[in-house]
Amino acid sequence: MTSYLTETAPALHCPTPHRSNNIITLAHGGGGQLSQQLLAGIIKPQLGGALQNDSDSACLPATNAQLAFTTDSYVVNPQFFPGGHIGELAVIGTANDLAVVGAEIKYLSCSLIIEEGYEVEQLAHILADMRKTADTIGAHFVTGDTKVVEKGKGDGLFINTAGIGYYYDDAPNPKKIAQGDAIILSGDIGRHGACIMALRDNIQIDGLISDMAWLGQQIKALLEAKIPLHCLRDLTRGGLISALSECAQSAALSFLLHADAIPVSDAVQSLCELTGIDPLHLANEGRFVLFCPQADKDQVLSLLHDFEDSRSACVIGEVTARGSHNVIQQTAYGTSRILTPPLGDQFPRIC
Amino acid sequence: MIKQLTPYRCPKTVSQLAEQINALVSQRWTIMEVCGGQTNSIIKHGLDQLLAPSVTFIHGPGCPVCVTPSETLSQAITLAQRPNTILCTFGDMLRVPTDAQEQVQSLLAAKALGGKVQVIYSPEEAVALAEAEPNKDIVLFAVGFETTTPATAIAALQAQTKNLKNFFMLIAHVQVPPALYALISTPEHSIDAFLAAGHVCTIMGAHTYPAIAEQGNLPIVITGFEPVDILQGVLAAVMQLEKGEAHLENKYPRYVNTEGNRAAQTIINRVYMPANQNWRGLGEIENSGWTLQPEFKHFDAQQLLSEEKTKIYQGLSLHGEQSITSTASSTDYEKQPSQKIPDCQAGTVLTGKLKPCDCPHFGNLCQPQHPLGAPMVSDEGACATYFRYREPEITDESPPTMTVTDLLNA
Repeated sequence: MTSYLTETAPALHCPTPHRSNNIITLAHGGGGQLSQQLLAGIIKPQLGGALQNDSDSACLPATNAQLAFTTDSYVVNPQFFPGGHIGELAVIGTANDLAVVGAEIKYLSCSLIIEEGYEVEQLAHILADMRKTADTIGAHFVTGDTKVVEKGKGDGLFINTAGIGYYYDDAPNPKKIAQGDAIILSGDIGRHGACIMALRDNIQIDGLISDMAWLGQQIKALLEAKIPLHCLRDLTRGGLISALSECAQSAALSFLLHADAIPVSDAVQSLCELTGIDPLHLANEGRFVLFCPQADKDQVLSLLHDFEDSRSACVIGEVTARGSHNVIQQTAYGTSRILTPPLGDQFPRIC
Repeated sequence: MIKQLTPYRCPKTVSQLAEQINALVSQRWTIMEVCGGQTNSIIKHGLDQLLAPSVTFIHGPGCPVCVTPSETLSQAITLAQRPNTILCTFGDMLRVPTDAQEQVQSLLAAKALGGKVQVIYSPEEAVALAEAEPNKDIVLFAVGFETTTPATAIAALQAQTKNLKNFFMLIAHVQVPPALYALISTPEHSIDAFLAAGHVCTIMGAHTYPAIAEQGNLPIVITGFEPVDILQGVLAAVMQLEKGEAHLENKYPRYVNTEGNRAAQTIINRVYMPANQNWRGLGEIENSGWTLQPEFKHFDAQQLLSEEKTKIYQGLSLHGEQSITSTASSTDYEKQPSQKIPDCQAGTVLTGKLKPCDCPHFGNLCQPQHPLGAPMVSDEGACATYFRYREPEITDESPPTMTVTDLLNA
């Protein structure tokens, strides 16, 4: 056969030479080889060895404990904010939902919805931090899923995590709240919501850092001290008011909050003065309210003050039978008002 | 900022002022504020509770969101749905429902259905957006009292300087003094004194108010927003009433002087000129609004609405795209007197003849989640303020069942 290649002939070059892929593409969500490469090359190494990707479900060992199960989705924008990022939030938020029913988190799932074009390096970084956070709180990622959506259909990255936790005693819940109970707040409010709002809207105020924090340690300490915790509720979207209103409705009781009892940092207060937003409506990611008998409130506060994230824990009010299952706040002027949950997102006022 | 406000929130001072007012009065006086921020402060801090023995607070049309005409809001919704158009608006306009029986009844619903609505903090953001998006028409929804009017005027000047061809303004600004004249001209009004809006007066000064005080034969006290400010304003009003006096007083001197902000006034007058304006729930008030001066008329968004009207007649699609259709007829684009929703008492609430909590539908058929009218929507609307801070009386009237349409228009 005549060869067309001679020493003087130019060497053939591939017109589309292979380049390393540093972004997620639709092919990574197709379930084929690229999906497997993403899983084996990035996701599993970052999320850890407990991830059971060789079967469709994670098979977990039996236990004598009672199980608590929760799920939450994380779509925060911007994904990176002072105090953390979407991945850490996806672990802590779900862990906190278990902690407030007295459950110790054991297992996590992680479902990713990734917009095509997302940088692989950033994804790996987020997943690595999710693993570190899970390790810190004693949880393991055991299952998950990955989907990729077209550009413009996904806002970068959405994460869903579901969590399973073990609990051994009756879970705290609003039905246990009793008239006369003390209402304790674990710290100053509104930091996460204020931080995100300031970032989104380019409002420059010093000191706005998310309060994102795991609540499991404080709650475990309270449970081990055998303090009768009637109800715990972590404060997330909708702020302190939403959490209290839900509890009041479930308990069919009213809550009376003392004047000026709710701690708000200067930075959060400044943002609220500027925009007209109520700090009691702002989101939190590392705060909770607790209902306990009056006789136990001092011990609760003493325990909470041992932890950095709850050093400013304080009593903010008590449970009363007065009113129509409302949250009533006394003002510094001797008057009172009811506190109603926000309808939806708060909008800055016009003037 | 917080430290500067603290003296004006001092509980001891508030208590002393309240005691002074309650000890002074020989009868119960009715005082109206015409500023949503003051309404909010009075109810939030319970100042009406402190002064219950001596003062009845009634709440005037001081929330610009509440008085923006329904037909103008319909126009904003139409523009948001227009192809290659972005409507820029302050956040608290988003949930306000229109009166008309249209498919899309709020800007929030329009946004959810694909309309382009951008929430802004400053009108200058609309100018910046027009520069950044030369292939889109950017419409600034210019709502607000005189506190906001200079800012939108600056936006117009900036757009003029930059020679922007894609910047437009849908004007719904209102002025306070004509509203006060309208209120004191209302037969059998019960107003004994006005608290004048401190921030409006910071801009416009105090010189228009003496004539109103004289014509109405009632005190007008320029007042701030913090609890101490409000009580100082009330005390001054009550002292005049007890002495039978009726003149202007300035109890917000740290920000207000007689002349006001001359630079801001110059900018307003450069860009705008007075015009008749419909007030939602009240009807038309002469020279109570603004329209663009001829030099800036090319920014008027009405021309875009005229194009839309023509497009509907011709069955054409602008820019080759399909607009999101609504069932609005072409006559919606023409200004008509504000239509009241059956059973919505906004008009009587805004003129102080009815307290929100005394409205038969308050807290039942009418709640922020399903408002009958605008005052239940804005955070500074009188009805929403009462709902937020006061326990509604439970009656036999049941709230309507929420439908998907309700959710979309919420």
